[in-house]
Amino acid sequence: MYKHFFVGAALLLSATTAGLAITAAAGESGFLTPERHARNTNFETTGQRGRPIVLASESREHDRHSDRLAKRDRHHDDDDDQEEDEDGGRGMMPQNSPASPAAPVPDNGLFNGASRPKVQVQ
Amino acid sequence: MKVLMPALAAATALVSPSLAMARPVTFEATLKNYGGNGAYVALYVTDAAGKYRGTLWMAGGKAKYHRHLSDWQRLSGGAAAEIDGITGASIGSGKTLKITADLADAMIDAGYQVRVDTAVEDGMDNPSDVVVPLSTGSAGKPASGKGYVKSFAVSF
Repeated sequence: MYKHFFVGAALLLSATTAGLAITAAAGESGFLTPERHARNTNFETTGQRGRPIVLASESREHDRHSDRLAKRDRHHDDDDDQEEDEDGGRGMMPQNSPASPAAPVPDNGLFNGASRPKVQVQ
Repeated sequence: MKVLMPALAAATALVSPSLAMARPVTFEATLKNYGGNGAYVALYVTDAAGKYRGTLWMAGGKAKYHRHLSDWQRLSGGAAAEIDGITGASIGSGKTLKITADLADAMIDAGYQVRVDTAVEDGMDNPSDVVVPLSTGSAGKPASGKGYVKSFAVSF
């Protein structure tokens, strides 16, 4: 009896982990990618990255599923935002300051080799 | 004291020419009230032949989104190391980004152009949203952008 319970729990855990991994791999960028654009506009499109072909005429249930996926993708992106923006708020970097104040001024010939540009956001 | 004065004079003689060869140039970009997330904005310079010469400022710190500034990405090749010290926050809807940098005099009226690329999450990518010549003739005259840039002006 216990053996069956443990096997069942292990299978359930594996399936959940695989599902999360697939979802995480799907969310790559918060900007409109061709895939997401196709999903948002509901145009007919060819499958990319192994995704099935999506037709405009498919059932409403599919649309709901796509919406859920899109929300999950966006949530994943928000997580990325939190990871990368250590000094700022959610998805935003602190205003009026360079990302790396200690970084040397780029020697690209534009700044006369010396001063960093002064930046204001109003 | 006898040594200090000649040393000071020599240092002044060496530094003065370099100061005289540069002038502060102000770039002012005002974004439209598009109402979305903060815009990624790249200000960069190309020469008369359209060749990339350098980035003035990168607004938007996540490197993974910089590819959406597609003209900057294409011309600069990404330039990740170059923008390390000149990267700041993305610019909010309706906000004005004002940058003042010391540019070499030789760059003024020499065919150089200042380009602005913009991109917004869940919005549009606008390569070369606005392009303005780095010339005294166009100084202070605001130019309209085709994307998120409402106006962009260069002044000396």
